[in-house]
Amino acid sequence: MAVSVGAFYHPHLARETLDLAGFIAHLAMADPPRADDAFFPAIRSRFTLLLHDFLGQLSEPVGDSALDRARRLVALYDPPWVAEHLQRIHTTSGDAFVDYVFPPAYTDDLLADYVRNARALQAALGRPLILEPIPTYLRLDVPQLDEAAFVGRFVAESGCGLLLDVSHAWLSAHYAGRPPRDFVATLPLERVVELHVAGVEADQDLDGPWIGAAVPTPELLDLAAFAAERAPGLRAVTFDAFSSAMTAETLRAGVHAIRARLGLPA
Amino acid sequence: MTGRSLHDGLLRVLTSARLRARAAAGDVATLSAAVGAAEARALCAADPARVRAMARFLGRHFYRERIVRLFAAGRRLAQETGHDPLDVLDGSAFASLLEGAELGSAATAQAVAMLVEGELTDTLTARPWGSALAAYESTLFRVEAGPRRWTAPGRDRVVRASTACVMELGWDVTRLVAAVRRGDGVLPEPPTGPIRILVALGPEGRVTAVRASEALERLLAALEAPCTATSLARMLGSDEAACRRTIHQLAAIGAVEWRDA
Repeated sequence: MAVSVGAFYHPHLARETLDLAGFIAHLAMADPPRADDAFFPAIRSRFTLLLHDFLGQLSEPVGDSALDRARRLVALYDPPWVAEHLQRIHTTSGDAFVDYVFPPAYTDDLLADYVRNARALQAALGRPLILEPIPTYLRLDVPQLDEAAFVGRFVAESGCGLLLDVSHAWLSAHYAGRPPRDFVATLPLERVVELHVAGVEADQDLDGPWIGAAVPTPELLDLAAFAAERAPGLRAVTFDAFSSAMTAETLRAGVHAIRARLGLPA
Repeated sequence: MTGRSLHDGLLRVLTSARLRARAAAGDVATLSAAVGAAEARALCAADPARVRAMARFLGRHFYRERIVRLFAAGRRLAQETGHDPLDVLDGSAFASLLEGAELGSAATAQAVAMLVEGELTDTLTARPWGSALAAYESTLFRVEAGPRRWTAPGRDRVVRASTACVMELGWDVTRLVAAVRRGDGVLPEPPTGPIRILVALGPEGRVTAVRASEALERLLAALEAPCTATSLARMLGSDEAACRRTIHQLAAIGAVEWRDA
């Protein structure tokens, strides 16, 4: 099956994105379109849209109002699959929250919760669900699985697919002091449906690299190719840069770099 | 201790400078009161440098994302004069604020908003509506960066949300803000007010602003204490079906919340 290459939808670049239809085959939707987005009808008609919004934290059941919202987005985008992050960004009671991708503890009890709630969300939406792991920067010294084992058991037990963000995997490996290819090879690549590829940038607070809205470096493109070659179910590769400062040049360059390195011409 | 309870504790430590200081000091006893004893032991044993770095990272991201989105109009106009209020994030005042931040608290949201608003007011001083714009965007920021609720617990009674506030502005800057968010090249000049605006935090954590009519303010005042749609309609002397529709619209933007009986 052909592998689609795409990017995230940036409303401020809608006109330029329409000009790149074909070169960009799909658009991941991180936010619903604004009511006054005059370009969205054309965007919707010319691109495959992927639902990549925050639907809910899957360590908890997705509530009725969040599920209603997710169903409306599925109806609007008609995506071939639905993506969510394998993350935990607020406490059980909701009194503390970080509003940024953050991984769970990789423990058996949370694994069981994610499996149960992901199954329920997938059934409720009637679309395949794929989950995207988050880089591990801070690991607590308590009995728990490693990230790859947690992800492997999650996809096996939930029936969900894997959205492998190559930069995330590179960062997890970096902060664990492991070679990135060794780490990626331990992930359930046979369950990968979509790859995210972007760059990494130095971060002043972490005093090291972190996710960046940049064109992927040759090293990250090589890692993406390594994963793609071992992912028989791969359907899409997305330039994973989403920023209000994104330029049309970076958008084009990111997608071009992915097409060129992975041998996926438009 | 479960993975859930441990992770809840980790999120509390990452979002609270006060708890983080206890963890860094190895003060298991004090931290236990907030996160549990076994959880406190595990968190006190965590790498303090990585905990502090991740907390600073999350805090900076939390406020940066909201400044970019919610101060969009002020930033655009300030940038025309060579200033960017986002630069406060790189200053010493924000650095010290970040060290003591309680993420998602009204107090820290207020402190960050004041930093940005101060920068904006100075920059927009030549525009008669500059301070109204700064006040409006600052309110949006404070509401969205403050405490929030993740769940809708009930369906029986309704009450005004604690985050919902009504503000009065001397200039109607709302169309200007909307034009900036659309990316319009030419921005409208704000007309003089006064206008009253309801600012509310939606269940998904996004802030919404709508014009506050007298009728709407009367309804919100009647909802200071929880009541059913039936009793609210009776209290206001209005049609129950219309009252229910309004309540549902207000619940959708987070201006009111449902409670169990």
